[in-house]
Amino acid sequence: MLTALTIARKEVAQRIRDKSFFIVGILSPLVLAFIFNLVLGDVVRPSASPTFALGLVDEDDAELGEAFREMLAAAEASGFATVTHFDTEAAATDAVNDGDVAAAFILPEGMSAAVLVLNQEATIRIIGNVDRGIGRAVAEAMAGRFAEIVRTASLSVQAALAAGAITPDQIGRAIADAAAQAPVMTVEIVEVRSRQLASATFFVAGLSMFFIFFIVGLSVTSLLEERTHGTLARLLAAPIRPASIVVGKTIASIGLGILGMAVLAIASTILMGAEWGNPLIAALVIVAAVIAAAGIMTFVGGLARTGEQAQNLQTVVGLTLAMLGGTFVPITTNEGFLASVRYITPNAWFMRGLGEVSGGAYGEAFQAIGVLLLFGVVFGGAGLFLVRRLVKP
Amino acid sequence: MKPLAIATVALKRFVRDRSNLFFVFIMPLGIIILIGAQFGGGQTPRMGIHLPADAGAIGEAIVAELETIEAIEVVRRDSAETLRADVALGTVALGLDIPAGLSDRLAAGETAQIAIVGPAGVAIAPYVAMINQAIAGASETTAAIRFATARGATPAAATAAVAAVAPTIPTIAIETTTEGESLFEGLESGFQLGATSQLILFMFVTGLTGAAALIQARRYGVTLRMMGTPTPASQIILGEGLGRLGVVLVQGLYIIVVTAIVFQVEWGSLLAAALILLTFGAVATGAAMLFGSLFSNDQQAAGIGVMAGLGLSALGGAMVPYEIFPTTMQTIAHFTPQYWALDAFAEVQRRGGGVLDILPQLGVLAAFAAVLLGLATLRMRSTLGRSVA
Repeated sequence: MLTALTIARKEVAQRIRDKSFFIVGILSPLVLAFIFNLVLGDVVRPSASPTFALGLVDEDDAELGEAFREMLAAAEASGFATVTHFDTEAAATDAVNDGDVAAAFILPEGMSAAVLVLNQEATIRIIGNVDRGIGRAVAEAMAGRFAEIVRTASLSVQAALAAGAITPDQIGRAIADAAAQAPVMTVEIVEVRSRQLASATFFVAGLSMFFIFFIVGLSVTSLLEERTHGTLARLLAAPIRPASIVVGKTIASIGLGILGMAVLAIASTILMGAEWGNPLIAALVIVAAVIAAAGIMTFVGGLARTGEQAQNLQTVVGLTLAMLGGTFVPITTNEGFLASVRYITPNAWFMRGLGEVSGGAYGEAFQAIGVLLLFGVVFGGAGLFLVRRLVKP
Repeated sequence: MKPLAIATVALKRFVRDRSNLFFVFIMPLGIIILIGAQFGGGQTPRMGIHLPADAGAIGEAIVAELETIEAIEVVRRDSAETLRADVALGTVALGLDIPAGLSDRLAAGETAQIAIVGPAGVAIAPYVAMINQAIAGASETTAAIRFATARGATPAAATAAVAAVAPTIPTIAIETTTEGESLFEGLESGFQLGATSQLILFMFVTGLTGAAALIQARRYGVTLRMMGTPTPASQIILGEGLGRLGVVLVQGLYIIVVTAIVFQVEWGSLLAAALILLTFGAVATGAAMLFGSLFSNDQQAAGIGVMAGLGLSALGGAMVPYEIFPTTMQTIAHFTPQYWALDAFAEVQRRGGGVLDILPQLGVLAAFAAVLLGLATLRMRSTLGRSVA
C-alpha cells in the first residue's frame, strides 16, 4: 500500500509539473464555460423577464380604443411592455420592419360604433415582425383577451335584457357594470424550486465533466507509455507487487480528477457566481462522477495496445459521451431518442445529480450518485481486469 | 514540387492515425444529426397541462384555446405532481394546473383559481398572457349568466337567455400579418443551420489540432531530417502548411457533399462556397502553424488548440446563431474569423448571393489568413531546425 502511495505521489507531481493537468483539467473548462455562458447563457435559461416593445395605431378613437389604451398603459406600468403610439399604419409598419417594435396593433376606424352600437363584427389587426414570434404571440394574446372581455360584456348585457333582468334604458349603465364585473376565474402563480442547474453552473459542470475524462484517462495511458519506454519492466523488476503500480496510478488519477473538479467548483463559484448547492452532497456527486469517468477510461484504455492508441480511443469515447449526455448544450426534452439515450452516459447522470442537489431533491441526488458509482465499479472492474495483463512480470 | 511532397507526407501521416478519421469524418456528422434532431422537435416552448377528468367543459375549453397558439406546444400531464416535477426538471417551460370540478364549481357561483406553475427565477410572463386570454374566452358564458342572475333573472332563465343571444353577439376578430424578411430565411430545416455551423467549427478545430502534428514532426526529428536535405526552409514551411490545409479542405468538402446528399442541405453557389472554404481553411492553417511554432509540447498545443477552437466558434456564432446574440456579443463576434465565414455562407445559402456579394467577407478572411500565416512563418523560421526533446 505504501508503495502504491509513493507511485501515486510521483504521478501527481509529474502531471502537475508538465502543466497538462492545469491546462486540460482547469483552464480549458473554466475559460470555455465562461465564453459559453456569455454567449449562450440567456438563450439556455432566460432569467430576466423580457419587456415587449409594442406599437399602437388607434384609428377608432372612441370607447373601445380608450379601453385598449388603458389596458396597454397597465401593461406598460407593470414593466411587461413598452408602447409606442403611431399616427399611421405606414409608420407602424416601418417600425415593425426595423425591429423597433415586435408587433403593432391597428384598431380600425369606427370599431366602437360597429361593435357597441351597430352590433357588427370588427377586426383588430396585428402587424408582427417575422423574427419576433414570442412578441407577436404576446400581442395576439393581449388583443385576444381584450376581444373576449368586450364580447363577454356585450353578452352579459344582451342576455340580461333578453331575460328581462334589465330594461333597454338601463343598457348604458349595464355595459359599464359588465365591464367592471369581477372575473369568474383568476390565475395564481405557484413557483417551484428548479431542479436544473442555472446556466453558469450548467456550463462549468458540463465542461469540467467532459475534460475530467482526459485527466482520469491518463492512468492507463501512462502505464502503456511506461511499458513502451521500458520503465515498466524496471518497476516490475523491483520488489514491488504489480498491483501496487496499477493502484498507485489509479489513486493519482482519481485524486487529480477530484482536485480538478474541486478547484473548478470553487473558482466558478467565486468568478462566475455558479451555485453548486449543498457543498457536501455536491462533493459526493463530484467524487462519484470522477470514479465513473475513471472506470470508463480505464476500461477503454485497457483495450488498447499503445499509449497513443489508448489516448485516441479515450478521446473518441469521451467526446461521444459528452455529446450524447447533453453536457455542451442542455437537452430539454423528456421524449424522443435524445432523451432516452442520454442516460446511458455518466455525463447526464452527473448533470442530473447536480441539478437535484441545487433543487434540494437530495433523495434523487443520491440515486444519481448510485448510478455513477455503478458505472465506476462495473467499467473500472472490467478495466482493471484488462489492465492486469500489462503488469504480469 | 518539394512542398507538395512534404504536404503528401503530412496527409499520409494524418490518415494513418485512425482516430483522426473519427474526428474528421464521423464526429461532425454525429453532431449535425444531434442538432438537427434538437431543432426538429423541441424548439417550441412546451406548456404542460394537468386537466383532471372531472374539470368539465370549461377546463376543456381552456386547453382547446391554448392548443391553437402556435408559439407554444401543449402537452398533457396526468397529475399535479408530475406537472410540478416536470417544471422543476425543465422538461416543460411551465405548467397549468386546472382545478378538479372546475365547471361544477363555477356553476355553483364560486370563483375558481387556476394555478400557473413556473420555475422560480425564470421569466414566464409571455405565457401568463396567453393563459389569461384562454381563461377570458372560457369565462364568457359563466360571467354572462352571473351578470343576469345578479340582476334578478332566475338561473334557468339566465342560462337560456345567454344561449339564445350568444350567436348574435359581435366578435372582435384578431388578424395577424408578419412584416420584414426573416434573418433565418431558408433555415426551416435544423440540418441547414447545423451543417454550416459545424462545418466552420470543425474545420477550425481540426486545423488547430494540426499544431500538435507539427510539433510531433519536430519531436520525431522529421523536420530536422528535411532540413538536412537541400530544401530551403520556406519550402518546408509551405509544404507543412499545404498538408494542414489539405486536411482541413478534405474535411470541409466531405461535410458539404455528405450533408448535401443525405440531408438535402442547400449550399448555394459552388464557386462561392469553394472560395469560403479555401480562405477559411487558410485561416485555420495559419492558426495551426502559429500554435505549432509557439508551443513545444504537443499535448499542451492540442489542449489549448481545442479550447481556442471551441471558444472562437462559440463567440463567432458557430454554436448558436449570431442572430440571437446580445448586442455586445454581436460586436465581439466580428473579431472572429468564424463570424465572417458564417456570414458569407448565410449570404450564399440563404440569400442566394454569388461571389461578388461575399467579397468583403472573403477579404476579411484573407486578411486573417495573411496575418496568421505571416506570423507563423516568421516564428517557424527561427524554430524549425530546433529539435524538441
